[in-house]
Amino acid sequence: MTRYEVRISGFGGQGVITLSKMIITASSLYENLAATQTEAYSASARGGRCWAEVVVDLDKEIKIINYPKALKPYDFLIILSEESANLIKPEDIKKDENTGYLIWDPSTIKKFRAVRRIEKALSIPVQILAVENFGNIVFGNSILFGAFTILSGFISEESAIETIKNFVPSSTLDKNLEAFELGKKEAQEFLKQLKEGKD
Amino acid sequence: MKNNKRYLPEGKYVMMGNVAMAEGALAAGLSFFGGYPITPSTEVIEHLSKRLLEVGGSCMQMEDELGSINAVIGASLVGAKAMTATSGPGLSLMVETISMAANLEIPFVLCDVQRIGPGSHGPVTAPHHNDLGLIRFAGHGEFQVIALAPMNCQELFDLTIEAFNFAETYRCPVFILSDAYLGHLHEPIYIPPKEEIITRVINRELPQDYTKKFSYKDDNIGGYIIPKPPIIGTDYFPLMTLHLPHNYEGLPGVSALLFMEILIEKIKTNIDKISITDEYKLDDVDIVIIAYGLPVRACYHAVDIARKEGIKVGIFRLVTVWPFPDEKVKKVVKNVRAIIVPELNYTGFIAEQVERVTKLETPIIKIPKVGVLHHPDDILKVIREVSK
Amino acid sequence: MSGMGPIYPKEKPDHPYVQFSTGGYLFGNYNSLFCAGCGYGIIGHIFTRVFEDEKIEPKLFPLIIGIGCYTQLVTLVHHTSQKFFALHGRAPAVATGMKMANPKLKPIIFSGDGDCFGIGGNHFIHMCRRNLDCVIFIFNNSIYGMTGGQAAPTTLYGAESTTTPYKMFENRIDGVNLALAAGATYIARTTVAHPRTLMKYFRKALKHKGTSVIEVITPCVTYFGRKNLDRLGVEYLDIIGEKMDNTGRMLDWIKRNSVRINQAKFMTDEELFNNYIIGEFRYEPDKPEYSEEYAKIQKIAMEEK
Repeated sequence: MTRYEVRISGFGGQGVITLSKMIITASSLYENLAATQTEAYSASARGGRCWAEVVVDLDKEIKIINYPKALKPYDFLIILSEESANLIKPEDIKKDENTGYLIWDPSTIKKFRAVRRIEKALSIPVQILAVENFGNIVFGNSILFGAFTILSGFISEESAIETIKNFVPSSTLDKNLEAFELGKKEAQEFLKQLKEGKD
Repeated sequence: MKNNKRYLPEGKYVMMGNVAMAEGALAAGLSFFGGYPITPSTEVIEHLSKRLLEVGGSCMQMEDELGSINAVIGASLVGAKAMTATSGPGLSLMVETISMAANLEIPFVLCDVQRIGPGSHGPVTAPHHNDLGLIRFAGHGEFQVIALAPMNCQELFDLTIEAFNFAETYRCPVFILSDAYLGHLHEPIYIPPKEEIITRVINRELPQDYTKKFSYKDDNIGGYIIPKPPIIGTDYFPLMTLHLPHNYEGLPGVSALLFMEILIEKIKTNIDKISITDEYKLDDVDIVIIAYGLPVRACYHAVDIARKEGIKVGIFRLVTVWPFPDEKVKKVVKNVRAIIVPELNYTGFIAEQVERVTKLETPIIKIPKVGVLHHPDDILKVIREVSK
Repeated sequence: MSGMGPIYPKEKPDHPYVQFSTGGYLFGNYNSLFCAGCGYGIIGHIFTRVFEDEKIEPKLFPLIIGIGCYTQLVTLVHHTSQKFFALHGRAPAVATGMKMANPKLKPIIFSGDGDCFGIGGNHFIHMCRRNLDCVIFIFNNSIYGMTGGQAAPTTLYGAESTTTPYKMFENRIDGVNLALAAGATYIARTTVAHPRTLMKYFRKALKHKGTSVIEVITPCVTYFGRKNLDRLGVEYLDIIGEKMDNTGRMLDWIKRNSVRINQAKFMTDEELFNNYIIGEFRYEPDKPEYSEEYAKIQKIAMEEK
């Protein structure tokens, strides 16, 4: 099985669905991998509990994803709200090498019980960083996308930048690319720490 | 996505299912869309409100579903390729007109984005293949319809073109059975070049012979002839469009029995051309899964795992769900020990058909699900149990 | 024409327009299927006459016929017209689809009071709201004739019908006021007792760009007249009425109960109760028409890069 299962959950309006669309666009259009994306719909997408799932097949030979929903355990989790954090159990995430990453936002989640038992958990205060550095929480998406690009490892930097160009208005492109770099940096430092921890 | 042309440039796109369906319709030559917003089909009318106007067509938001289907009939009568999209409650409102259109052999395509439950409140964005029971005999009167069930966004694009071709050829209501989940799924799809699409599309044309306007039985050939659909505003239109049994000119004076025979047999005798099916690892099977639509995708996953365990299981997929391909199914289930029918409903509309065809000689195991997709494990569990 | 009722002697009537009717021209069948005293014969004749005199191109004026007694007008209307039978009440929606798919056409709709204000009220309102270019005739006989004399939304107060055996006590709908509120741009009401006015209105409607609503008051002797007294409409005068069981009385009653719009301005509500106001209520030829406006939007969309 070469499926790569991604789940993003949070509040409506945090950019959960946009981020998932960025991931599927980058992996299918620019990396030529088979992918599907599903999302919460209607009222929950505008407020309340919002989620999106992306499944990417890392095998280039495979043209179509059979089962469209992300299967547990996940390869990559992005958790942006306390409500969704409470639903996460440590066994929901893979324990293998180079996979099973969790990104969570301490600026919106006060208490994340399961996080202590998840090995590869990276906390980025996305909302605070976005507002302080760029003036608007919408830039949080690019930060997370940067971190995702580095940690997941199947999206090249060029594809990621092309994707951002596709999704953001050209007036804010520079700021978004900065945010993307910020996310990348966070992830790279995290990977370094992980490596040191193992050594 | 902005484009002045009917056909998107060749290439790969990430599209929502409903949007892929709308693009497929545009590629098939759609020029009139009449609709009324209903979750989960709204993206179709939203997308076409923009795209259909760019190609000079009309996308009307009508006052209700009755209005939208009747406007579609009106547009089809003047020679436009027309369609509508709706969901369960809207479909129920439309069946009166569907019956009339089937009797008058007015071609149109209806995309049914099926959703859970009979009502209009609650979690209406969950998938539920509950409309097949209505669609297969949609309305009062007797006639046959064609229903196609895509399972991914690429097929939503391709089968929509096919659906329009069926409507033009066989002059009957053609349904696309999408559902809430498929409609909102985002997937990469490949749009072929314009030249290739054009070769696939059957256009609305005037025939050579103006005397025959409705289907009739030709005793010399021993078959049923389906002339091109008549068009208002040309010489090729019948004197009357009677809702009662009529002959090929549209005038009364044909027996009601023969009229019903023509309406039904014109589809049934062409079942080989209409019925699209797909086989997966069916060469040496003990157990066969018969499925359509989204559940097939979970089946592929389950079958791959089961095959590794040495269980001889395969999938017979119905792309054309209705009319039901009796002969093909008979052939497939000939030497199998058990038949598994996973369906996104409790009744098992297709399971009933399989029961009818197999005459209950082979055990049939239904896997009903409502509102949630089949997990591959659900199917795998049944496969393992049956193989013991 | 087998299956279309009994065939009467085929003598050609001495009438200049009957030879152009569908039944007469194509089948040599000059009879109609209506009851004695029905007003639809007059309407069918007027339609054929205007169609012939104005040399109307039938392919540009498709005829959409709803469900009611007037569906049988198919044998009386001009033989070249392209006729489509819509479902009960859905004719305005079918016309919308036709007009939008081919804006060159101008559909003519035959509709009845039950068809248009009962089951198809919504479609009628929205067609008027859009100001779609078409002509809609509403034949108002204040009863459901084809199903056997049930009360219609237009049945007058105090009238008897098979579903109101004691008396009709519901308020009736005024189709003209409905069309005025919905936004049609040519609205007129007349009766079959004023055939020349009806012809005038029809000619005007054919030239008008926009929704033309023509309500025609027509008698139904069999199911309305036979059951009701001709005092309907003048109850307050304490007149003891007579049963309207023949055309003469019924047409008399219609004439007596029709008030010209200029006259109606000076009458009280009580005096106008159960009466029909006839005349032209609105004529606004300069209002934007839907398919033309739509074409402008299409042009913008097509030119957008």
